[in-house]
Amino acid sequence: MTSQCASGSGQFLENIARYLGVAIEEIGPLSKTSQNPEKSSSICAVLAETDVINMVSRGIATQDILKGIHLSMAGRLAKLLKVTGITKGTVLLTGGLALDVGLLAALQEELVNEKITGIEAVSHPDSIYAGAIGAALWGAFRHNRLRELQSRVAA
Amino acid sequence: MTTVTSIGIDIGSGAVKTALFRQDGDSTEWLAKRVERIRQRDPMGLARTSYEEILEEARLKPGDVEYTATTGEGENVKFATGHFYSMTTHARGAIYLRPTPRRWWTSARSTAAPSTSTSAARCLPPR
Repeated sequence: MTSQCASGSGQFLENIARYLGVAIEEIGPLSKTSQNPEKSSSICAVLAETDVINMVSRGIATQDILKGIHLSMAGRLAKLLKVTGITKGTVLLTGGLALDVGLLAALQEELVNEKITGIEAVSHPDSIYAGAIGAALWGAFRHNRLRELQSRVAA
Repeated sequence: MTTVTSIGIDIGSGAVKTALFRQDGDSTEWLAKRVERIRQRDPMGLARTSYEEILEEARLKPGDVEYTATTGEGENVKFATGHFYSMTTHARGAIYLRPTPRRWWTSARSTAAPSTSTSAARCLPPR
């Protein structure tokens, strides 16, 4: 994950979970039980995957690996929020990862670490549909705009 | 104001998400939604079946839909009317799901200029 684009962070986490033998629904609750999260230093998913394989061979507990990944992602999100200069309000997680309670908890922790206390991070049960909802609403908006312009040309 | 029916198809790396909306003036109705995990299948074919299934669920025909929009990796979906960049669609979706996050900019704007609160003015500018 870079500062601009999540580029399949969810898919990456899914791959890791499969490798660790954890069901997708278990990722979040497991991550929340972690006492000593093992942070992965890699930026790219391929190297991070190698990191995880190393962690497993070093005998790091599954929940600590998952929490480590959540914290690396959340750290990037918090830093991105910081550079926007926004200091208050609510931020909504969108996409499939928004259903991951472990990522949400990690983000809330990282916001405290980055001293961004005025921003509340939340999720929504329908967060996975955010992109589809937005596309449908923008589509309707563009349709209306085009019709408006056409009627103006005709008039 | 006439009704506008639109479908949004979000093709991601893990799943294809579809949403069906109907707008009538200021009222927005979310009619149907689908999420289909890709697994080993072809995302483009899955987009097609999701589209057909969501229409069936809402008892509509392709001709009833004014705009079919794709986002994510859906640039190459043949039957779509247009494609939108992911960041703008996710932001728009977030505002729909949780209307409060946009207060920071609406309030900033309304103090700077007199409020023009028509439905068009409240929308974000077109891309």
